Amino acid sequence: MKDFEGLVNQVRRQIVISVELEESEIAQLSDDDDLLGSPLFLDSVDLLQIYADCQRKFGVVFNNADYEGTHTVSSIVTRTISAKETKSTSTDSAQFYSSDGKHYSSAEFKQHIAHLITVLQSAGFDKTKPLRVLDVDPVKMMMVAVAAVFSGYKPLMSAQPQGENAVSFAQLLSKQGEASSMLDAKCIFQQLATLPSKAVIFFETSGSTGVPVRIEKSLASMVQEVEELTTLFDFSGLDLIDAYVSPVHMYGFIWSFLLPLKLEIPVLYQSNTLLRPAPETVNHVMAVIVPSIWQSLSDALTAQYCYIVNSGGKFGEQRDAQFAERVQSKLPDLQGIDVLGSTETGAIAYRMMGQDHIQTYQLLPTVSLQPSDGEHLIYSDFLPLGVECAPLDDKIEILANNKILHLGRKDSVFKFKGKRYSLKAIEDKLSQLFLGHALRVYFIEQADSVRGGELIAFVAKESSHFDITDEVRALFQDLPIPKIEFIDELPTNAMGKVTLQGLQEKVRNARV
Amino acid sequence: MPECKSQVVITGYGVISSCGDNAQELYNSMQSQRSGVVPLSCFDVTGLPSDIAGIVRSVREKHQDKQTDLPDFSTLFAIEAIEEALSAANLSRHILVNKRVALCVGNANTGMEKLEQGIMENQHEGLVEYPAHKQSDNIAKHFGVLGPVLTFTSACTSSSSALGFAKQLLDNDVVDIVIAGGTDALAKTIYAGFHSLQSVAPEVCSPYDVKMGLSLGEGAGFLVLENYNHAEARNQPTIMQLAGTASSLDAYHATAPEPQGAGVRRSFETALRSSDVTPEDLDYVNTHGTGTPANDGAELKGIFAALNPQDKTSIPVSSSKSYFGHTLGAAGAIEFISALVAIEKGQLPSTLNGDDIREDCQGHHIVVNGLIDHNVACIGATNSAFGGHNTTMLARKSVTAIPKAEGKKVYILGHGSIAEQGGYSNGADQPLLSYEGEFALKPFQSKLYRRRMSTIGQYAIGASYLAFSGADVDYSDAEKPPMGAYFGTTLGASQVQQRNLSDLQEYGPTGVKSTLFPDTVLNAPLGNLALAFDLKGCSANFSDLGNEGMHALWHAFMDLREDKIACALVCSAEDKSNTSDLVWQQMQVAGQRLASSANALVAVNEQDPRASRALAQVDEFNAGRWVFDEDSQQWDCAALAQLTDKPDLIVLSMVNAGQFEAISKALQAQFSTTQVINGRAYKESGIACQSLDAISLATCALNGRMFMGREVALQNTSKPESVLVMSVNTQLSATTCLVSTVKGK
Repeated sequence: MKDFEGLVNQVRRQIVISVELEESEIAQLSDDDDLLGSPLFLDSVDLLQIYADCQRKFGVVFNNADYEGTHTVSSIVTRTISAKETKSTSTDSAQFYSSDGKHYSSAEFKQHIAHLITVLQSAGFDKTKPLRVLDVDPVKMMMVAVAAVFSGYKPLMSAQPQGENAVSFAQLLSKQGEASSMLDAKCIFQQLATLPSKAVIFFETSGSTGVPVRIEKSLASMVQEVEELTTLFDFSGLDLIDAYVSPVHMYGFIWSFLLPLKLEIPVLYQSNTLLRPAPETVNHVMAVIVPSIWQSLSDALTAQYCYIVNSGGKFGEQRDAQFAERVQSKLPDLQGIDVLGSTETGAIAYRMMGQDHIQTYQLLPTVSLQPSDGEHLIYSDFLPLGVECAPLDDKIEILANNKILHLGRKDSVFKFKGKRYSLKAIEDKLSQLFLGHALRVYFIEQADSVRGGELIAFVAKESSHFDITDEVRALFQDLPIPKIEFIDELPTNAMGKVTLQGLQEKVRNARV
Repeated sequence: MPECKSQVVITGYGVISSCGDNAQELYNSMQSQRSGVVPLSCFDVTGLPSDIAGIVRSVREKHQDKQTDLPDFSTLFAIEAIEEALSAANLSRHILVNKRVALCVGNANTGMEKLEQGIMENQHEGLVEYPAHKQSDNIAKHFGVLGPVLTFTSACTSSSSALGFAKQLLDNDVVDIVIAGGTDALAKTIYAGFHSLQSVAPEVCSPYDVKMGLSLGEGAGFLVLENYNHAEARNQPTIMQLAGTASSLDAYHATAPEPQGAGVRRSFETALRSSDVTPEDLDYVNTHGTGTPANDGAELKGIFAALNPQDKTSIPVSSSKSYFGHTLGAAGAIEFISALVAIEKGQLPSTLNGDDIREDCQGHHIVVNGLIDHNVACIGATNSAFGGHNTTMLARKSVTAIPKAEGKKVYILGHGSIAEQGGYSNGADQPLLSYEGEFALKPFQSKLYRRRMSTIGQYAIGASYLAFSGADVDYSDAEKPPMGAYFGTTLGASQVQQRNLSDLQEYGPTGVKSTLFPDTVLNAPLGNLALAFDLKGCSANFSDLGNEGMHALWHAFMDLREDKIACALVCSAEDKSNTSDLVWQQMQVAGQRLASSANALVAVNEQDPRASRALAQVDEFNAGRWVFDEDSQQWDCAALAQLTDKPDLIVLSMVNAGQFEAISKALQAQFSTTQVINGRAYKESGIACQSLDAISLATCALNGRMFMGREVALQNTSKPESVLVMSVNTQLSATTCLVSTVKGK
């Protein structure tokens, strides 16, 4: 109490100095008077200065919530005491660097999760349905997701910012709740590892037919994938993960969230518009990227970087050559891991960039591939919940020593007007027709269509008219001619992938 | 009644920003959705929570090593952009020499880096490059502009104000061509100042999105404007017609906009009223859209309150600030150009990085994440600024002759001043108040005083109060139509700026105070005036090196003539500090002129019933640089070329007294029997106040009254009927105003 009163006097003195009050003015102010109201009628810029000066004077950091609500001498004192306590309990350095510039210590991260758990317990969301996490900021997204899992919900990670049974960090934070005792002193990774197998997270992908697909993954399988990766590679010396892939994607969830949790090292989440250099104070950094990031990252690579991890798409021959050149010319200690896999399959295999042949991958120790009816079935612990084995959508050859030769995506066969056609065959014809222009072909199944669906091609070409001439008919012969949409370029999503959804959106925007 | 038409067209533009050095590079950036906002490296921002901005790397990297020997970067940016604009408009310097050319420059940050270096690193010689108008003067000299050179300093509406006035200069046939736009270079003080207000986003800004905050930037954007007939005569294709412009004041807060966007609405409505554009014509509005919580929603409310469409989504809107950041004094011009480059390709600019539209901005068609194809015939553009200043521009592809009513007559109703330890107004020959040291508003008019009011703000309000009193105008009438407000200042609140720099020097960027920073913008006193007297009409803020007061009156005159407003307050003010003394010492201005002072006029047009008791009529303005012709050994000034009638009296007021005799002789050579009187013989005016003092002196001479307690000594006439007032700044640029007795009085 004595401390509180002492602080009250100090805050009152600071207000006089900060906003240049006269003694007679501060004398009229009670400790519970709204500073923006009577008797002072201060301005918002006055408040900002008072808070800035109190931060400096008392050596504390206020958070955004401190600038909301009513502002009185008493509330500033309370906030100062609270900020002092937060500071004393979070003596460890920041663990999560958000893409919006904020950062959270491990203690703050846990504190927030504890609060969110309490609020979620009485929030009344439907536990039988996926709980959509609305946050875009990776740290807030993960705090909500972890709290939801601990509370028995099934969080849904999606790039779609709306939907039913949805929740956001800000929404939960605004509700009152005592800190939960569910989080103990153990690290969060250990606690996630001990969750029952029914604890799951849904990941929503854009889907090859334009319809989002939800994939249900058990926490246990993803934790196991991380355990296997840390056994396979020596990440012990790392002191920062530089994450260019959001944990909204399963690849990001594993490499940009679970892995740093497991290693107990900080993670820096990059935004998709602004690349920040890794802090100069760290010496061993791993960058988690997708292929489209390579171009902007490669010039910024410094000797701090030990590992580059790529997934979400083929790294490609040209990038691989560039990587090898970087290693040879200036970064001899840099290693690159190119991971083959998808949300549907989990990690399957890897190759070391710049060393291994561009198509040759090493299967992960616990993954096996079995030939079956001209294709390959994956047997792995990293498959979606309840899936024992899954067909591989890629063309591969199995080599000796658990190695595979990756030959690209498997051709898709679609049924159009009752006949079966190869999408690859259509794509080849279009490539002849639009030589040098990037293109994609999709067959969108439509239950109510007599044709069985729509065959559509997107061609990266300046707006052009497409006439079905005799020459075109001759080229396609017995193949169906797709509807052609011309767009200036093929758009890519945050994972650097061209998706049907993105293409359709681009066409729609062009027509507005 | 003669038929008046407006056909001002854009025939060229140029731009330099963090998105590239020209319009094509800007378009490429926009097309690839690339933002120029990147981590800062040009100055140290240690301790601030954000470290990104849109910096013009090309110019900075080229000149960084020898920057102390060069003008401020804002001058260098402007030169690059104007070169491109002139080239696009097919105007060589050879052609310009034979044209009547004006330069209108928007600038918010002044030469701030020069001030930082001058004060914090004792590089005093660089202080000559600090004043905002010095940038304009540098640019004018570079391009050989001898006509009017005006510097608009209403913070983030500076360049849109410049474009608006450019249109008025052409509508009134003052010049053939106007180069108009804005330029600003970012500096540590500015960057830290916006952080003190917690306005800066940690990553690239995304106006209208739930991610709040602005990104700062720098650069320049300039347009070439001319009348359609002029462009047609030289076979120059037109890009768009500038069909309407307007401005307003919020009279609400120093930094925050009025929450319902009432100021934006008033400005937009005035622009529509002054043109033949209807809300239905608009295909797109390029908004100010800063990304801050206060701005975006309020601005949309204001725009759509003015347009009132049945379907709000029928008019797409976007802010271009995600591309190059908020370029402050250059924002209006650069953003307008960003719309032009997209429109010329059949597209609309977009807001980048949009994930989730915030609640108060929903229900609109906000263009996000990539240019969209859209045929555009007519656009609007809005900007807003500290001090509650708003501007609107309307432009369309097809050129029409917009009918205009004949200009209204404009009168001076009253004037007041505070200087030399006294306060005067036209109603009294003796001082109405006296003070020791510096004037303090609180003991004089406590209701008009607000906490922490800057000295310059107190002087401005005091002088304006005296002018209102002299004019017998009740400013407190809540029912009054929006009254215009126009302000001129050379350095603004130099005392506040001095404290601001002192904090920066002592504590680093985190030490800059939110309570001081808003007062350092040059139009902060204008915001003070708007709040004190509830002024919500058209508005502009000028800086010069001696003529700013007359430029403010010139703009008021244009708006009153066009009947955008019926009554206006015009004020100029300056304060004295160690910093301002250092600047003026470097500019070799005599020490006795350095004192805090302010003066003000109340002007009305013939629509205002109070016009019947006017003191004088304002007839015309012009401006131009005095140049000594070595061949003829004569001084010549373009401002006098169009003067049709010989005045009965000339009031000449010059900052540099040393050249008074030469210029006075040149005037007497042209107007052989007209007496030239020295304005400074009646009052030792400061720099910012000299031109309005000269107008007040002329008004007293027309009415046979004393000025500042001194009788005006006339030689050839007991009561002149017309007086030519000429104010000459430190750079020998002159602005003239012809005032006369009120006809029929």
